[in-house]
Amino acid sequence: MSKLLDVQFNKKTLAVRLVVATILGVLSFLVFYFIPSNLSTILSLITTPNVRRIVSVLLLTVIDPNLSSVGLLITLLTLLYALLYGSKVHGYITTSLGLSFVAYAYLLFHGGSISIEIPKELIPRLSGVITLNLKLLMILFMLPGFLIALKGILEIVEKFNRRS
Amino acid sequence: MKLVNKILNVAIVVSVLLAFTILGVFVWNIVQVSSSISIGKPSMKFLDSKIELPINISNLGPFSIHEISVKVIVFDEYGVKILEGTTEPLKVEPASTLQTKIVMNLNVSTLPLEKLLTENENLSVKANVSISVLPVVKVTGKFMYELTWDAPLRELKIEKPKVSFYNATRLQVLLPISFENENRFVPVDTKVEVRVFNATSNVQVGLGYINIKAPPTSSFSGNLTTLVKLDRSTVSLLFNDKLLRFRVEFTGTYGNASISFRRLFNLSWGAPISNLKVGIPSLHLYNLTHIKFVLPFNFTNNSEFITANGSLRGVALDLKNNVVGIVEPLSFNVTPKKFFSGELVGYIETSVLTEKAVILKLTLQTSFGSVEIEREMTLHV
Repeated sequence: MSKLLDVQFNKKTLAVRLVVATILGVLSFLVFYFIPSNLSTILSLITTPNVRRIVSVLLLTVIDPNLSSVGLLITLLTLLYALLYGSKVHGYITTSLGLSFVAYAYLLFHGGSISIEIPKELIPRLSGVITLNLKLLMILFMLPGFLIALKGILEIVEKFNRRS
Repeated sequence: MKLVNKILNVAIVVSVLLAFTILGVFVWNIVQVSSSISIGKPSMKFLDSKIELPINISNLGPFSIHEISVKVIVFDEYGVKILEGTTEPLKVEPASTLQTKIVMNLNVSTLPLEKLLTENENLSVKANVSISVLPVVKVTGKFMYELTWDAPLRELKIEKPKVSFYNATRLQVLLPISFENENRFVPVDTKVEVRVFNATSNVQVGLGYINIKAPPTSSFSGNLTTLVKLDRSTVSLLFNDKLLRFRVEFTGTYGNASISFRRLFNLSWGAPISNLKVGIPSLHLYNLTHIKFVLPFNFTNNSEFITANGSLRGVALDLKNNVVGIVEPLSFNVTPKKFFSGELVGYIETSVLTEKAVILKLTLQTSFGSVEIEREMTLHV
């Protein structure tokens, strides 16, 4: 039996935590980092070269360059969330994870207003910008993040009260 | 605290499900609305300045489609606004079907129709589109499209008119008309009314019709035959070369639309009796009662298409206006661009020899009418 950050581990619980952490980590890595970062490559497998070129240009506009960094942060925090469940730092990890989700939703929806420049290749001699106002959807997707962060804060407060 | 935690856990799960459910329903709603849209054939009503586009949209819901509106502005290559159109906003409530016409009101007052019909242009079409799917999304689009406009009446030419004499007051004018329909979509099939105006006096002098048919990317050439009234003084035209300026107004109809434009053409009018010269008479004693005189005269028929034919006859008057002699009729028939030289022969009474001169009163009779010419003739036998 070993103790790390107020959490006692035996071989069994460590193994379970590692398995859960790995599954959640891989899932979040795929969903929040790998797919958004390689969307154009993934789409290239199922589309024609012409469509691929247009989609690549569109994705450059739609996917924020910071999204993958936040996705990677979410993966890391998810791993820690599962590994260090019940530890004294778990509240901080939960809060950070919640705020990361909020940041991810904010970047995904470009702050609620996405401007897509129509690629020149799409229709010759046509140029234009389509602006999507998605504030309500963004808020909806930010809500779970806020609630997770709130949960983390409550956990910190609870741990603080227990010590004092 | 545990209860709060549990509530938070439930809230997190519910909020995630809610977000994805709303997203899913929204996407489904948009997909079914967009697949239900059927657009009919647009009809253009130039006279009412409207384009009508029949449209059928079904919205199964749950979201309401609001404010479908389009604004289109067309600029010419110099950035001058030539056409503006806006639609009246449409609204499709959830669980309803809308069968309507998108009406685009066009401001055609500034539309340079003649220019668009006859000149190729690089137009810029600027469109603002707005659609709201309440309460989730509002989509606005700003588009710019470079449109190459190929003129349906490109290189519209009125070749040099072929003019022929019709009668004393009218000319028959054959106007060869040609153009290229360079437009790939717009056919030209119309009966064109052609009015001819004297460009100086602005008086209508001719009217004609021509059927014009030119499918997309084809050429047309045809002749318009019209009678042009000579509204100037015929006497003036008989003796004087002139540049006659005409304005031709074409009015074509296309559906309900009526399109007019104009062209100028000039006609160099050559006088049929130009540079008329009467020479010095020679007098000879003919018999005891009469003196014979011979009066040389000449002129050039400057006309390119009129044969100057007619006759010259007259009488001689003394200074008291009494008839004292006659001039023998002289007929002439001078083809275009020919010189004519002839001699008028007449006889006057010897009793007038006491007078210094007599007046020759000549009547020039042509198909353009009669002209009186008076000339004093000194008597030196």
